[in-house]
Amino acid sequence: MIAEALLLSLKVTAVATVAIVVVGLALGLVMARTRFFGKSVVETLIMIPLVLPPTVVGYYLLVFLGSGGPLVEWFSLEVVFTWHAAAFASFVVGLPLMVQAGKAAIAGVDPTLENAARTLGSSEPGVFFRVTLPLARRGVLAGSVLGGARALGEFGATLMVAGSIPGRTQTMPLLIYDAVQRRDYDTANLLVLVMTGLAFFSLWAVRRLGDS
Amino acid sequence: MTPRLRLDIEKRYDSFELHVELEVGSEILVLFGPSGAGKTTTLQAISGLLSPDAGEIEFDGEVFFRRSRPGERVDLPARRRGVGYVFQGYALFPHLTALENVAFPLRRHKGRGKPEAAGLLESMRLQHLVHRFPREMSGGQQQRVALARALAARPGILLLDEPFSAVDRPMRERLQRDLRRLQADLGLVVLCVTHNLEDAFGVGHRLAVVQDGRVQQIGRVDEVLRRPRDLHAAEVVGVSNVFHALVVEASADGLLLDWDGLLLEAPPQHAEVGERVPVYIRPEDVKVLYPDRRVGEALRTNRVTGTVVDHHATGTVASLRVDLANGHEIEVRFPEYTYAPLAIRTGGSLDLCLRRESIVLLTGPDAVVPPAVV
Amino acid sequence: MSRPAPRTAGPSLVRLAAVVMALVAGAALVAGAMLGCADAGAGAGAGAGEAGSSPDEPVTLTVSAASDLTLALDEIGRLYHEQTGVDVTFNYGSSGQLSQQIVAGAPVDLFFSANRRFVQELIDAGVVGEGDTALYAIGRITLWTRADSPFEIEGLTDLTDPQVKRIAIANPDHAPYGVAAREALQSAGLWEELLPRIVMAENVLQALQFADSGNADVAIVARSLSVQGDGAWVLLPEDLHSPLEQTVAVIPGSPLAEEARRFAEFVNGPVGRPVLARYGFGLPAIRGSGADR
Repeated sequence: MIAEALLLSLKVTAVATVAIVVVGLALGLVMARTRFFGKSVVETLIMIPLVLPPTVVGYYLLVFLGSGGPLVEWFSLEVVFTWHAAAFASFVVGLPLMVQAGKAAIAGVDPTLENAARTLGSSEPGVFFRVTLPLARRGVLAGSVLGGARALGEFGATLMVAGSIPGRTQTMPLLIYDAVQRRDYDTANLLVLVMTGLAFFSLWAVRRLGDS
Repeated sequence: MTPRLRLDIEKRYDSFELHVELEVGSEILVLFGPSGAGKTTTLQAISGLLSPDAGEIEFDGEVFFRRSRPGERVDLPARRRGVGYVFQGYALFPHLTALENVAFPLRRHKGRGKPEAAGLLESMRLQHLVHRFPREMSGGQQQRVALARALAARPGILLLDEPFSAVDRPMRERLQRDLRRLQADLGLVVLCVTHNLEDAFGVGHRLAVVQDGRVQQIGRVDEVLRRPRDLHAAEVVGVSNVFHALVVEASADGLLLDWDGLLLEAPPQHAEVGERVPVYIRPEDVKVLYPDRRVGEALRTNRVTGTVVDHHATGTVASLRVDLANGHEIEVRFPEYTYAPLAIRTGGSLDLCLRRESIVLLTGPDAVVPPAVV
Repeated sequence: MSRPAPRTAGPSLVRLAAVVMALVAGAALVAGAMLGCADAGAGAGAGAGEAGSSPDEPVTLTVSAASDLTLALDEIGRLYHEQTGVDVTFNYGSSGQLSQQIVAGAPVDLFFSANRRFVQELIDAGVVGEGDTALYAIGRITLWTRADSPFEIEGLTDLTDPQVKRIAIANPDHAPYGVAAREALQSAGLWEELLPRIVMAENVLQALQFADSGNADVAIVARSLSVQGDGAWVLLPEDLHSPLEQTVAVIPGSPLAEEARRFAEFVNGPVGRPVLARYGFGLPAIRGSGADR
């Protein structure tokens, strides 16, 4: 059970984190460098999973991913109670952290440097990858770690849209809950230690990246 | 001069309106004026970092920008214009070495970029900086690397924004010489923004006075500074000694002006008797008279006496503020040791002559002075 | 110091366009990687990983089961694996929650409910047919305390002892054993009085865990859980509550429906029934093939 949960957590978190970084970076760029009508509304919507109770997030996800929702009706995609739904839930809750950090990091890059790159013949993607990103590297990395850590620890919303099916959707946090329920304290203790260690390491890494 | 760069642009901001028209050839044109006048905006429009509300920008027959003018709409992005830009503060990429900075625009050359960049740095005598990062270089070094980087892309136009501000004097003169030589060797169209008169003199062929979003005057550097066309231009160029006088007599021989009681002779200029006109004389053209010596013909008239209220020396130049009998102050400027024997000091009395030929009437906008042949 | 570049039309528009394209690309990537690989099947029960079209592939059944069957079904599942080589994975929870999951499209093959009502839900939702269901056990409730508990609980009236601070039951909203607990207390006329002291757990197993950890003083739990534990327990009369007719349902939409049916029959057959009996379940009278046809 432990091995299954570990592998599942790894799979779900890895996929979620890749999506968090890619989408989070793009959104961070938009938030940092553009202005448009309704921007603050969009920004708030992205950030909202940070303050909403996990059950509310889970509810929205259920509506979106479950039967009657657009995924099922328009695309015939059944994802509830599969690891895909768990990954998506992790993505949604980890994204705000990445966007926040990414936005700050990108905004901290002097726009004159980006302009200089433009006058030197660089295309827009070139400006982003050769100037903006290298200079925003630390903040982006910190955001990725934070987003990934949050994705790893996701529980409430995951439980609602993916359930706690061993071997399929039972990630480590869910297994801990289950183990306590079954009074399997050995399993619970081990997993709690692992997750605490991972969380500690993540925050330490973020601090290191933040200093200097 | 055949103009290679033509621009006629308008841009509206909340607080002011910009409308700049310029024709620039293979020369160094200095954009001179107070901050907020629109100089940097003009540079940004030429380089494509900013889109004007209306107008046209054309270089060597290629249209960079056109909007609200006859012809199809054009707005070429910066990367396609081939305009080199040395920013205020140089904008060197801090995460790249000097070599990598200069090689940045040469990315497409696949492998030949770095050697080419190295060669360019060498030709500017910067080879020792090749592996240094911008934070490890002085202001002057950064400026030259930024210049090399802008030139690496083989631009036809080169724009510089306050290139000499963070550089000390001896380096400044070297840089100015280098820039003039580069322009001549490469036949570039160069626009240089500065608010420092000395830099304008040191590097420019022509000078455009920009204020309130408009080109107030344009012409050869020395001409513009000697003869500001009107009050605005004079203000910008930072002249003192602008005052108002009444025209008492006007003839083909000259003018007689009444400056609040002081009568002054001036060369013939367009003015009506009874008109109250703004008048100007450069501080360098107010001469100090030795009390016991004979004076030449030119200094016979316009003699006044005053009391020195301020004496200021700035290394090579001394400037005085002298209180005159008519209640006004006048500024006098000369090379430091010129009048040493006079032992000029604050509070002392001084005989001055306002050189007749240098008294200029600032009588409002005329036709633009056509660019001199360079 | 360099001044910030003015943000106006022109470069900003290009930037925005490039960024929007990156966003769309990113979103497509997200969709593809995470959701696109999901089975584009219709209806619940997309099956457990391997669709088992080839008889040589290892088959894994995904079974949702009421929490009171923990350990009992694990044991039967092991026996089944020994006999057939088929792996059975159990997803335990309260019957109501599991039923909801199935209605929402959870890909399970078989559902062991602790009562009939939550299977009826599936029939009403059109997910399961009447012929796919069968009775497999009769449940009983007990009062459970830790072995070292200071309380001597012999019956429901002992719960009125003011020293008994917290009584754990499964949540009656979605757990059959919670419903039975409530009904029993109501029959004894104690529900209103004891309500302030009642703590509701997610499912009957968690109710037991509350009492076991000491956070609750006593729990009303399934007999099948009490018998395997180390606590003190007493059986409650079955006339205090409506019968816990534990019903199994095969999910016909699942690609492993046939295998699921076989396992259901195994549980309800000569190998499974003794195990259930050992765990304190009452057994339904044997009918022909075990499933209503």
